[in-house]
Amino acid sequence: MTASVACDVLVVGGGNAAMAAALSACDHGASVIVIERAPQFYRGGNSRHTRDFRIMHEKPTEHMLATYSPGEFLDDLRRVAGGEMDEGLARLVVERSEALPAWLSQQGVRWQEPLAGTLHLARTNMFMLGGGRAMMNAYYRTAEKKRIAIWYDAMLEDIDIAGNVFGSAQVRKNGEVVRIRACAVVFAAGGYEANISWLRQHWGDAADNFIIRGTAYNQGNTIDLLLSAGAEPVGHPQAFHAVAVDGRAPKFDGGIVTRLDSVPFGIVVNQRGERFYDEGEDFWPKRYAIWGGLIARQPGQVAYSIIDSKVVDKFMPSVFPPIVASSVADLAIRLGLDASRVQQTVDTYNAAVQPGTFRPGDLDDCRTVGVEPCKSHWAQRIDTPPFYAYPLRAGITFTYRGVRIGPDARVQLAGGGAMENAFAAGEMVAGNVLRRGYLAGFGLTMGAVVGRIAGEGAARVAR
Amino acid sequence: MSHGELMEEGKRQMRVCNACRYCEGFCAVWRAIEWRRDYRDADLAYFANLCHDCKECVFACPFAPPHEFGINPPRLFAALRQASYRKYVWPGPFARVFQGGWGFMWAVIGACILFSVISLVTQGRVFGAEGGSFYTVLSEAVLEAVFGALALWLVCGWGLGAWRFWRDIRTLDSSAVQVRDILQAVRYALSLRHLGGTKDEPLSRWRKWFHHGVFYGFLLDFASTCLAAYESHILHKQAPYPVASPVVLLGIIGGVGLLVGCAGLLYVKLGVNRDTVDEGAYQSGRAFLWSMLLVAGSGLLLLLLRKTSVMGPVLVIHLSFVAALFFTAPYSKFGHFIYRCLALVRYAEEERMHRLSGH
Repeated sequence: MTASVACDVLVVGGGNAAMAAALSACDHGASVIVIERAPQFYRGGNSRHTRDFRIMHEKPTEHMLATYSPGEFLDDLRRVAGGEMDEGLARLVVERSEALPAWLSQQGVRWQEPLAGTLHLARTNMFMLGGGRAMMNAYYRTAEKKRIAIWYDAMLEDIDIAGNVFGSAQVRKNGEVVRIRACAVVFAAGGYEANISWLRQHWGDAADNFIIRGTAYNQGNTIDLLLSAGAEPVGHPQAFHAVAVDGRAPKFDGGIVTRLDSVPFGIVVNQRGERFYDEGEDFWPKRYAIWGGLIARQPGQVAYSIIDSKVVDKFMPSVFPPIVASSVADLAIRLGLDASRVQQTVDTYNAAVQPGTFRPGDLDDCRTVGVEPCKSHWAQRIDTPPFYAYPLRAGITFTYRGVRIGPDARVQLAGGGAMENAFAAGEMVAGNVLRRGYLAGFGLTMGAVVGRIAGEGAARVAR
Repeated sequence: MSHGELMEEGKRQMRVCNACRYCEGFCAVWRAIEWRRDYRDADLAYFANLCHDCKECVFACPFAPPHEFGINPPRLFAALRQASYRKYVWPGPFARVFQGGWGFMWAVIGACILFSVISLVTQGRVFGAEGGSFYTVLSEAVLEAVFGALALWLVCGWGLGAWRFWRDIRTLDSSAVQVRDILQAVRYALSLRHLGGTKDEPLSRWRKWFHHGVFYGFLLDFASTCLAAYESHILHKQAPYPVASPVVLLGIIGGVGLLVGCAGLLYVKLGVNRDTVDEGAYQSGRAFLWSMLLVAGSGLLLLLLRKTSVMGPVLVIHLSFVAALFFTAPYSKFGHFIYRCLALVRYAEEERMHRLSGH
């Protein structure tokens, strides 16, 4: 016989959005069970790799400089959205973001001083002291204090939905099957980027060469269950956010340290030894996100950033040492590339570099003429040995495919209408605001805002 | 792990940390790491001694074990501190033989035998007269000779260790240390600015206060000893002094501070997550706390029993604990403050230079 327990609100998932929902439901009087698929150390999904929230504020605060108006925040979102954005939901997230810092501080989250910090985003973003895992520790400490039940190694296997009403969930906890009956449920179980067989359906064999920057537990099974139960899908199944990471990164959970910032300072070639995109198009933080997709479309889903000794100390140190050689041809051989082809690519590029003043902090006038693709800024000859290279792969950060929600965070049904007592938040609803593109710190902000709305809504239904 | 392997492992972990930097708001160590791109062995010794072992970082780290990156700064830095003590202390061979709790106990036994023999030879009896002055057990001259020699030993040991460490952690491009750097380092040290503790280990937030108890308790006891020497040599007032005298009062307050501080730190140690500590450092820290606890406890006991028939043996035991503490001081955990203070001076100097250059 299956064991059975009951609670007011069941929260599926254990990251930022899930814990925001759980704490908010608890604060509105509900008894709460959180089921986290990962073991305790890996709790928090991709949130454990995060570091900042994007926060609207109309006046300077203890932790943020100057102001960041709702209009400016929305403009920034529109700029990355590529013309497809849910304006209503975006506006809601932006407006509610202002209250997040105080609420998060109440949950025990601490913040970095605004002037410190590697990324210099103190006007628009707030950085958690110690990063995402420290934040998740604070969330869980507060949840335990409030007697929220936390189940680790607990995976959602099935949901019982009749019409538009959720009834119960079947959960496998440490190998045992348990049925949880709840008056309301919040789904916040992340995306499906770690499910390689799903990625293969849309990317073919290329999926085997992707690196998953975050948790291995984001398998998308919750999204699958909801879509099967009639939820309305949102986001293209092929869409993901990916950046260039070091090709030697672990398959899962390499997090922030595998990112590479060398691209704008040299050239990037593919397996054929050819350049394929303007490496100096814009500042790296703005272009950072497109390189994952670019590399995903190259043969073997691999590329190589090549620089010379003039610029080797101009970017953030990386975790894996560069491959070094005294000549370009030697470097190509070490990378397993056709030496003469790479030499030819470098020679052609070098010949196209125009004289200019190299200024890494500005869009400078160092560019190429007469080479395809061109390099618009920071183009310097690659001529000073030793030469260095980093292998690059596509590192997937998150996926956009999920379920549609309303402004009250209720799961919307494909056949029209909404679920009575089922809500969703976090990465599995990311596609509701942005279908593509990304704005640093927006994921956590949207997760916490929608999570709080979902938790409060679930508690009201349960009452 | 050999010394070389430990250094390689340290550099590997530092490269991961410097590519991440999520810990940068926690303490001085992270800024010192960010100010560099490559790491020398001596840089690792500098970071390790700058680390106050609060452990905020390891509980915040997504790459801590069981993650394959295996990042564990508190354990790494504790092992590196042990390595730096081994590398810089003088005299090195003693450090290898007389380390830890057993080293201390052998020194206690040796001192006990020495004091008993001296007492027997000079006074004709092992434990002096009942209810009498301490000097009926061991004469003032003997005490001065023994403890004078031990003080010289301790100062030479610490001084040489300090000099070797300082020479190593400086680089060619280090700027000159200014008085304000030293003052800043003293402020950091006296306030234990970087000993925060973490909510992930509930008791650890008491460490700062227990450490204050040990440190300031020790200072008060040291002041009491100096005052007693002044009264004895300059004012020619002989011990024992009345309970209400400054000498005894300072001694009592200091002794209680030491007792509470050491007992508290030992209690906190019981609750630490053993995955985040280096076993060698853990044992050597525990041995040092026990030795301080024994010194303070036996000192207070002596005060309580100084008018009774057991004064003699208690005095010999107390003095043996003190002598052993001093004898092992150059290479026990006692010397950690030297390395930590020098690391803080270096940090204050670097901090000032980076503020000047706007980083």
